[in-house]
Amino acid sequence: MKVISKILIVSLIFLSLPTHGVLDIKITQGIEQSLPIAIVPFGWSKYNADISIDVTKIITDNLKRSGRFDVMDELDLPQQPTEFGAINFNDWRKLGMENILIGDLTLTANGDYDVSFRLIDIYRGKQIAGFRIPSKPNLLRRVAHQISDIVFKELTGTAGAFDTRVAYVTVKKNKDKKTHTLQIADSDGYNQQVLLRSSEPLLSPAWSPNGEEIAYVSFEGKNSAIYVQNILTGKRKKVAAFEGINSAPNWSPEGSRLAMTLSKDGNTEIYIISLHSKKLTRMTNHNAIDTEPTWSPDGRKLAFTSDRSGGPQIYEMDIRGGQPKRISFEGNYNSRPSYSPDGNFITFVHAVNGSYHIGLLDLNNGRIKTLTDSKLDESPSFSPNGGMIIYATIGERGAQLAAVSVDGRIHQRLGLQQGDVREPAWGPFLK
Amino acid sequence: MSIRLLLILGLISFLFGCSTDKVKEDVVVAVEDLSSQQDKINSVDSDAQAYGTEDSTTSRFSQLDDPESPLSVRVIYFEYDSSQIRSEYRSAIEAHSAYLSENIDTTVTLEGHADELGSREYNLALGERRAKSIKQQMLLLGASSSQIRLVSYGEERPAVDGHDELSWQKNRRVEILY
Amino acid sequence: MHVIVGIILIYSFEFSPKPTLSPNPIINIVKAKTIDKNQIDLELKRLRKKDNEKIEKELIRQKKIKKKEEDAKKKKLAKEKLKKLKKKKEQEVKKRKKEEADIKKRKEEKIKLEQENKKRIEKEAQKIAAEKKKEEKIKLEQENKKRIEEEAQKIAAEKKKEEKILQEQLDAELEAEQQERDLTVIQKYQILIRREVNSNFNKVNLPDSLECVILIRMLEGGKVVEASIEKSSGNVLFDRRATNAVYSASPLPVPQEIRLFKKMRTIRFTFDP
Repeated sequence: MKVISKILIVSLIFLSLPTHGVLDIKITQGIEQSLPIAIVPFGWSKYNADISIDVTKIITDNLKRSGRFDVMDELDLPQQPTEFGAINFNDWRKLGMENILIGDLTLTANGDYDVSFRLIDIYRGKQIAGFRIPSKPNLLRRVAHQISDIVFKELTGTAGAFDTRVAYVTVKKNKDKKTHTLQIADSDGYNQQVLLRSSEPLLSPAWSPNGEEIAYVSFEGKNSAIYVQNILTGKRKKVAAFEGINSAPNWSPEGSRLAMTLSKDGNTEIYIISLHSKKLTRMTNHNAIDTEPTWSPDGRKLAFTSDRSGGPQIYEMDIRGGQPKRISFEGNYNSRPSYSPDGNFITFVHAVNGSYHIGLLDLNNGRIKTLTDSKLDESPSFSPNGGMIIYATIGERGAQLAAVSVDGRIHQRLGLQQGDVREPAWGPFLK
Repeated sequence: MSIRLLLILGLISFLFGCSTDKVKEDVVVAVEDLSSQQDKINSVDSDAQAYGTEDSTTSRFSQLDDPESPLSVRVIYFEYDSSQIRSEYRSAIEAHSAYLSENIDTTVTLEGHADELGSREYNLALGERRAKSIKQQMLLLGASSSQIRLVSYGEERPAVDGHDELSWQKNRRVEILY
Repeated sequence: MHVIVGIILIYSFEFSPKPTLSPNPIINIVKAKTIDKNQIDLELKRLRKKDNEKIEKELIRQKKIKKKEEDAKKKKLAKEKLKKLKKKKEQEVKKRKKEEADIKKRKEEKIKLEQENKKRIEKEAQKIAAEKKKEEKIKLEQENKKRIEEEAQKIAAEKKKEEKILQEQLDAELEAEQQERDLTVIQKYQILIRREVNSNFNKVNLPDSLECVILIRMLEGGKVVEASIEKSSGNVLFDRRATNAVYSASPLPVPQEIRLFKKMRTIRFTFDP
């Protein structure tokens, strides 16, 4: 008995003491929070200080607007270093600031700029990413967007979509006359450019996959017709002007074909036109309304709106033809589908009890999530990184553009201009 | 002699009567206050002025412009997301169809519209469907296809710019344009 | 360290013989004089030397005697030869008788001497033997003493051991109780630390089913001074967020008592959200 008790006591000592004195703790939870970052005003030298301030402000506004970051107030910055050696890591650690962005602009001999920046990991005391980007003066905005994309990618793990553009239609009323314009702007709403101005309605702008052309519907010929316009040159060609409706253009992923809605054969049906050969292929054959075709990112399917079951619902069909299959089953009005870049989701107009919201359909399990509370929403489309959905809404300020994150938590209003803004289309990644 | 006098008096009174039966300048438009509609109707007026005295043409335009006549109904309204023609418009469509079948050189444009609810492209198709359903009725009632042109503006040309049911009601329509 | 202690204890347990007394010859140990073995040896040596010297001396003496005798003999012979020459005949008989008597005498003397020598040698031998015996006795006595002493020591040592074991048992029990108390305290801090790090671990947008292990060291007061990735999740962002979580949570809640703190100054965090 004595021996046994001795052994027991000894073993107790072994079990209770941590091996080699290391305590094991398992972390199984965490928080979902915006990421803290401090953006130090970029340094400048030898030229107008405003420019560096602009670059810093563009980046700051981008990251703030994304809703994913908690950007430190400039007044709270403990120091303003512009190079790695000047960083006082202790100061930042004391504030619990994990990441800081520092940078510098220099004017080179030929009048161009060198923009250098570093994203710093304060706890590790190391640089996460750092680049030097040469830039012409008129492209500094883009550089600021590119820097925002790099910071976004490094800290959130997903690609940013700041260096992108959006297209949209504006309508201004002057007495009894309405002026319609087709415009493009940077993703932050700046740098607006008018592509087309008309006294007749414009709708459904659609970006080509390479971002060089936009297809749209114009009523300038007293009937709907589809045009394709080159953004750089402004040159355009009429692609479809048949009898009846010509509308809802949507580019194929490889950029050589357009899906569209034509009613030339007696009823709105979906067709595919080859832009080179002008060959027309009819995809649907039903006396219901079939419209709003959209190409899946892998080029294999078309989703579209059809009211063949009584009211508008979303259908999918194989690009090679065949019977369309219904994929929306909740609510009595679902239309205007648009695929996510990874092909896993479709965003669309989802009406519940006469309120028109933006919906998100998970193609893997058929579940629908309603992303907006506003009741007159339409025209949703994904950002090229699949993280945000831009759409048109009508609020107190009239028709405006807005964006919502795919998880529904972040909401943005794009304040573009006075008058009505509608029909947004988010362009592809810029090269 | 008294008979002659009577005849002369009758003629004079007839002349006066004619003048009092002259086409009224002010036209009562059924519902719209679209400027384009105004223009069209005014042009009808000016035409009417040119053709003031001829019986046959006078009677034609008096039909169209007669506020009492069902032909004066130029806008047909629809229910939400529907292209079904309400019974209250039956007589109007009958009248238009009859008019067209009688006047085979006359063409008409049926302009389809929709309210702003829902997606634009779908509404474009909905407007067309509404116009089409009226065309079909008209064809059944004697008009011929070559006389009827269809155009849809979807929600792009609202009659009323509001964001409420009253406005939406006014936008769900087909306009009959001569 | 603990393993060694344990092994020693176990071994000491297994190999403790039962304390028994081995059968002992009864010896009268009256004088418990501490006899120095060395001294005994020296004494023995001296005695032996003495004896040997004695014997040697004796032998030398005997040699001398022998020599003397021989010389005497020679002289005598010479004298007698002269006498003989003079009184040869007269004394031949006498001579012969004398010679015979002398021879006898001599023989007897020899024998006597031999006997004496023998005796002496025997005596010496006896002495030596006796001394030897004495020595042996002493040796035995000493050995017995030693054995008894050793036995006594053994008993004392065993008693000590037993006391020690008892003491150790007590200590162990106290230690165990202390450990239990410490354990609860440490567990408490474990929970506090886990909570801190949980609320600083920003897992927004991180892919599911990743896991990484971070090893940290702290200074007194809980300040994290070293965080190394023991096992990466394979995702740079995940690892970075985990490391940041630990640094953000620093200083971690730790006991003020240094003794307790030392038991948990190194922590291994497994991030498995």
